[in-house]
Amino acid sequence: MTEAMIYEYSKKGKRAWSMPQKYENINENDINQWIPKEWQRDKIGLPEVSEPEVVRHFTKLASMNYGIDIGFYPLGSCTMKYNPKINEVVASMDGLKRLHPLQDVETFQGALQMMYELKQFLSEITGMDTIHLYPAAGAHGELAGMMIAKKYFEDIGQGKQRKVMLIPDSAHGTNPASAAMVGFEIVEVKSTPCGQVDVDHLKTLINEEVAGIMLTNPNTAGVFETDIKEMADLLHQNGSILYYDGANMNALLGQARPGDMGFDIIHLNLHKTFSTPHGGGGPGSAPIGVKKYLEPFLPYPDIEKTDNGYSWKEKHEKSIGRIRLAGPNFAVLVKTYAWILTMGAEGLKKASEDAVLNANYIREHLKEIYKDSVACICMHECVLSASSFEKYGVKAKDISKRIIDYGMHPPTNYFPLIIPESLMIEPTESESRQTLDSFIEVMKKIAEEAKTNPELLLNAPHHTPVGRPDEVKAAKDLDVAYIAE
Amino acid sequence: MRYLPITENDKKEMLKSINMASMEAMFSVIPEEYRLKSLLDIPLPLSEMELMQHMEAIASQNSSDHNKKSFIGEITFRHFIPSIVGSLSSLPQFYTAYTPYQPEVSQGTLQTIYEFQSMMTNLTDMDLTNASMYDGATSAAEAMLMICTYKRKNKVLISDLIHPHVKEVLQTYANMNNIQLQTISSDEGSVSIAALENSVDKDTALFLVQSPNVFGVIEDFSIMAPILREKQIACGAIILESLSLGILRPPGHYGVDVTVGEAQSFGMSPNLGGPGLGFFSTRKEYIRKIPGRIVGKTTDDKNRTAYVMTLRAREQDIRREKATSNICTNHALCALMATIYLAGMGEVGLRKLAQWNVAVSHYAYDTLNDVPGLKIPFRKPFFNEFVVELGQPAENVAKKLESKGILLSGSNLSKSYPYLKNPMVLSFTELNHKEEIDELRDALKEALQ
Repeated sequence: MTEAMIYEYSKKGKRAWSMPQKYENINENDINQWIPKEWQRDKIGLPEVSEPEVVRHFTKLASMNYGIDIGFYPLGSCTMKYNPKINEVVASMDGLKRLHPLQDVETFQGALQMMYELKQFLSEITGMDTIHLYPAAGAHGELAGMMIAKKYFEDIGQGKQRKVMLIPDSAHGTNPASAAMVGFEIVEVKSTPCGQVDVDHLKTLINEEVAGIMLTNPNTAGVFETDIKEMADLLHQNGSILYYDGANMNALLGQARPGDMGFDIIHLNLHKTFSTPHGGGGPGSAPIGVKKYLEPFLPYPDIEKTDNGYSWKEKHEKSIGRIRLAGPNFAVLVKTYAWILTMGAEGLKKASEDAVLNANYIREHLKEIYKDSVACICMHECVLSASSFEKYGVKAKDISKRIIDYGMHPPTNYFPLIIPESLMIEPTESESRQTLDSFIEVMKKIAEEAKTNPELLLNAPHHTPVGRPDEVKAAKDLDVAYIAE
Repeated sequence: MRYLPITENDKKEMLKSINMASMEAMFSVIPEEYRLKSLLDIPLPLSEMELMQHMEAIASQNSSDHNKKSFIGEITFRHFIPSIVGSLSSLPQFYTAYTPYQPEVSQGTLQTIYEFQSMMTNLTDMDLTNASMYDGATSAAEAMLMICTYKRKNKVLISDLIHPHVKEVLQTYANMNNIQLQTISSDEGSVSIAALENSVDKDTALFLVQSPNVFGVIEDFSIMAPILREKQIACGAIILESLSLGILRPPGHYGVDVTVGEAQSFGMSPNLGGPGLGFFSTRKEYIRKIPGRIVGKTTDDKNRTAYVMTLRAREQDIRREKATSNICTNHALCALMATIYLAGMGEVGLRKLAQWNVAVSHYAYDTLNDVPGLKIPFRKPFFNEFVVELGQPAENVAKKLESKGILLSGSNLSKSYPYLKNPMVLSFTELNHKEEIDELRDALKEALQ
C-alpha cells in the first residue's frame, strides 16, 4: 500500500482553513495600496485540500512508519529508548511553549530557573564544570566544541601550531566533519581488534601540532576505552585537549563521568541518552560541557543567577559568539528536565545498568552465530557481524531487512566502519526480557533461514508498504520536489 | 521505576545466563578510579502527579501571549496553529521514529520530507530544498559556507539590516573559515544600492540580504539581483518571517542563488526560541554541494513509488572530513509540522492569512502614527512588523507596558543601529485584534508622556 502525494488530492475550492469573515473578504485594493502589486506573487504552489483529507493523508503516512512506541528498535548508537508521554504534555504547557525569546527576562523566571537547574543536573551527571544548553544536535555541539578548542589555542598563542585533530577510525562521521569545518586537519588513529584506540599508534601521532582528540566512550564498538587515563595523560602532557562525543553516554549514567576521566569538552545527545524523541530526524538538543578554564570561550548567550533572579549573562570577550538564531531547543530541554526529575539518581543508575545488561544478554546469546569480532565485555551496545553468512550470499543488510518481516526494527548496519558486515545492536533499558528473548529467537531463526532459504532474506522485507527502493535510480533521475503547475 | 521493565528477578537470571557474577562485575571494565562511589546529587524522583504539579508551578511563573498581549516578533513569530498540526504530528509513528535509514519502514517520514521539500521549493520559487536545518541563522551560515566553497572565494557582503542575531551567527561561522564579512550600509531602512554597487568586486562570493529586513521593510530584489548577476556574484536571501511568502514575490522569482531562513511561522509555537525550523532552498547547480539530507522519489523492486534519502555521498557518515557539512540530525519533526500546516492552509488560505497580517499591521501603523513621542522613521512597504523610534529608552517603555499586561520586544536594537533613537520593532499578526492595538496605542501614549 502506498499513499498518494498530497498534491494529488488538490482541487480548486477545497480548504482546511478558516478565518473571520471580515479578513477572508479583505479588499485587494487595500492590499495593493500597502504592497505594490508588482511585488505580490501570482501563485504560491500549495495544494488545496479539505481537512478530512489532510487528516487521512498524514494518518496513512504515519501508519507506514515504525516508531519506538510500536516495538523493538535496537538501532546501535542511536539509543532508541522510550519517550515518556508526560514529557510531551509538560513541554506543551502554554506557560512554556508560548514564551517568546525576546521577552524581558522578568517575564519568564520559571523557564530560566528550569534551565539553570538543568545545567546543574547535567554538570553533576557529566562531571563538567559548566554546561551550555544551546547547540541544536550532536553535530552542532561538536562544532561548538571544536570552535572552543580552536579559540582556546588562538588565545594562548598556539592557533597556527595546533592544527591537527586526532580521530579514531571507529568514530562517528560527524567527528571528522565537525573538526574539518573549523579548519582542523584530521589524522586517524587506528583501533585494536577489540575496537579500542590503539594507544601505541596514538603515541606515534602525538606531537606539538596536535590540538586534541575526539573520543566516544564507550566507543562505537560498544567497548569502554580502558586506557582512557593513559590517553588523557599523554594528551594533556602534550598540551592537547580531549573532546567527548556523548552519543554513548547512556552506558555511564550514574556509573562514571567524562569530566572525571579528563575530558575537557563534551556534548550530550538529549535525544538519545535523555529520552527525548528523535522525531524522525530531529529536533535534538546537544548541550556542551567544559572545564573551568574553557568557560570564557562558551557560546553566547548564557543564563546566570543573580540576587535579583535569573538573567542573561553578559557576553565574554573570548566567547566564540552566537550559534543559534533565537534560543536553545527549549522544548527538548523541558522534556529532559522532566525525565531527570522522574528518574532520580537511583533511576539514572538503574537505567545504565539495565541498558548494559540488556546489550550483554543479547551479545552472549548471539555471539556464537553472529561472529563477535570484538571479544570484550560490551557496554550499552554490542557489535555483531554477519560476515560468516557471506558464503550463502547473505549480507548484514539482508539480515536487517528480514528482521523487519518479524515486526522489529533492524540494528545499525555497516557502522562502525572497522567491523565488516556489522550489526550494531543497542537494546536500551526500555526493553523487557521477553522482548530481548524474542529478538534472540528471531535472530537465530534468520540465521537458519540464511542457510536453508537465503532468497527469503534477499527479497526481504515482504510485508512493508514498499520493498527495497532503487537508490541508484533515485540519485540518477533526481526528483526531489514536485513543482506545482 | 515505571520506565524500566527489567525486574530484580530478571536481572539475577540474566546475569547468570551470561556468566556474570554481578552487575558490579559487568561494569568492572571501567577503571576503578572512575567508578562513582555514591549516587549522583540529583533531587529525589517525582511521581507523575508531583512532576505535573512541579511543572505547572514553573509554567505559572511565566508570562507570554497566553496571558498577556504580545507584540514581539523579529526572529520568532506568534501565529495561530490549527488543531490538525499538533494532532497529526504527535502520532507516535512519526515522533518516536529515528532518521529514516531503513526506507521500507520509514515511508511516512520520507514522503512527508519530500512533500516538505516540494512545498518549500514552490513557496521560495527555487529548484530544490533540503530536509531541514536547525534554524534560520545556521541555515544562512551554511549557505555562506556552501557558496564560498563553490566559488572558491572568501569575501561575503552582508546587509546591515540582517537581524543582529543572524549577523552574529554568520560572524561565528565566518571566524573559523577565514571568511571576510563586509557590511553593506542601509539607506532609509533598506539596502543602500549605491553602497552595494561600490562594494562588489571580483573577490566577492556572495551578497546576503534579509527580507523583510530587521526593520520589517521589504527589500527590492528587482534592483539588487541584476547588479550581482552582472558581476557574477551569488545572491542569498534570508527570510525569517516565512508567512510573508504567502503574498510577496519570492526571492527565487528574481533569480537568487539561495533562499534560506526560518519557517517556525508554519505551525510551531515560539518555544522560547526553539525548536523552530531552518530551511535551505537553492538552485540545481549547487545540488552536490548542499548541506544535510535530501529525499528523492524513486521506485521499489515492484515498481511502486518509494521515497529514499539520496545524494548521500555528500554527507558526514560517508564522506567524513570531506563532507559538505557536519549536519546529521536536523529538525524533521518541525518540517512535518510545517508540511501539515501548509497542506491545511493551502494555496488560498496562506495568501488570505498573509493579507490578514498585512491588514492588521497597517491598521497598527495608522493607529500608532500619531502617538506623541513615537516616530515611524521609514515609510516603505512592510509585511507585518515595523520599527518605531521612542521618546524614551525602549527598555523603560517595555517595562512600563509590562505592568499593563503588554509584552514588547527586549532586543536591544539601539546597540546595532545607533542612528535610530530608541528603536523598537513592533510585530502584528492575526493573533492581535484591533482592540488590542488600540490598547497598545493608549498604553504607549501614557508611557511616552
